[in-house]
Amino acid sequence: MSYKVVCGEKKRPGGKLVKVCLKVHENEIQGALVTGDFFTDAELLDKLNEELSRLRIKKENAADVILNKIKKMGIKFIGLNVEDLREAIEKALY
Amino acid sequence: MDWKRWCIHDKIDERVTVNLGETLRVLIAEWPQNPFYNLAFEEAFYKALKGPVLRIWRNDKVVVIGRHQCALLEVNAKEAERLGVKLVRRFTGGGAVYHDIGNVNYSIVMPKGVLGIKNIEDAFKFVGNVVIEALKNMGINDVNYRPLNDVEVSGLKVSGMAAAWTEDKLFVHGAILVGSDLSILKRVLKISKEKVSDKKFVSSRMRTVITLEEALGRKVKFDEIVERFSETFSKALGLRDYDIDNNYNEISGLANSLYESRYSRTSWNLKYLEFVKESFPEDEIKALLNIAKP
Repeated sequence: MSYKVVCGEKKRPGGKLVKVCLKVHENEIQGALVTGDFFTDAELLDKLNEELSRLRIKKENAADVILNKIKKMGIKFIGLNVEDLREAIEKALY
Repeated sequence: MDWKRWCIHDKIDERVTVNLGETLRVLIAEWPQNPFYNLAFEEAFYKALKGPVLRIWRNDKVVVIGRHQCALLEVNAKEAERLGVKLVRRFTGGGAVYHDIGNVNYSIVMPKGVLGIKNIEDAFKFVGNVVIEALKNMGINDVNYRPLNDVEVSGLKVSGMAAAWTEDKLFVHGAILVGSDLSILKRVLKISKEKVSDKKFVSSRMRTVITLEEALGRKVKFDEIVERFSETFSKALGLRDYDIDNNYNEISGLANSLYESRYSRTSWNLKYLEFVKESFPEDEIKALLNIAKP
């Protein structure tokens, strides 16, 4: 195993919990997974996680790249917003 | 036509007229010793029926995780295995819950547009208010709907809901803690600090849930829940009465198929495991694999 898995989570008051796990090797992200107790379109989330599992990016770009993918795919979450996701990613990494 | 109940949501650009019938069909269909089949039946119930139909049912000793959750992050697998608690994934979002025979589940499928309910937030609010009314009828006064998907008694969670939707129908199901063993719930679920950050603290010890029996100070039988929930749901939908119906032939075929292809398999119940498993001890993975199948 050349990477370690780190996870961060965020739940704002009245919102739902999101957990983002990242495979990290030195300064590189080698995959990501978004899970949690939110509500969303299951097929779109599966597609997102499939794409994120093949991610190869620098750590510092992780939040922007993941959030851009979500925006491009038109995924709507009930119970959380993109800033919750950004915070979960940053908590995992830093 | 007098006997028909028509529900009209009147809007300039959208007029939804739904024939609800006269009585609410209530299915008591449960397999408490096989939670994998119970959850397969649940998805089939949602897919096969248009509604409104209410299902009331129980599981025994199982953690039911939400569709978008990773089991390893939510469940204390070794403790669950030791206590004989199984694990199954449901087809709706939301969080992990512990079901034992002291927990009662309610599920309603209905056409979109009934009573003006068009989206998931409306549906949670509608069902939350039905639960509140049912609990008030049982003698509990300090009960509130907490958006998005909780019902609380004295600020403590007594029922959580989850939902699914298509173009033409809505589905909401929820679990109500009637007399569950809360000590097992705390042992088998991994409760994150983030999760309880906006919950209530009681006597310096974190407490987030309450059972109906604690709130009422008396035992509550399954039949009482069936009666109260059936009459409250039928009244809220504007129906005259309800009929207990134990004929569910139109659901069984799909339920059997979903059980075989999905709910009895670790590929469904332990989805996402591969991503995180390298970071967890082998004995925890082994326990998880044992509890996530019949």
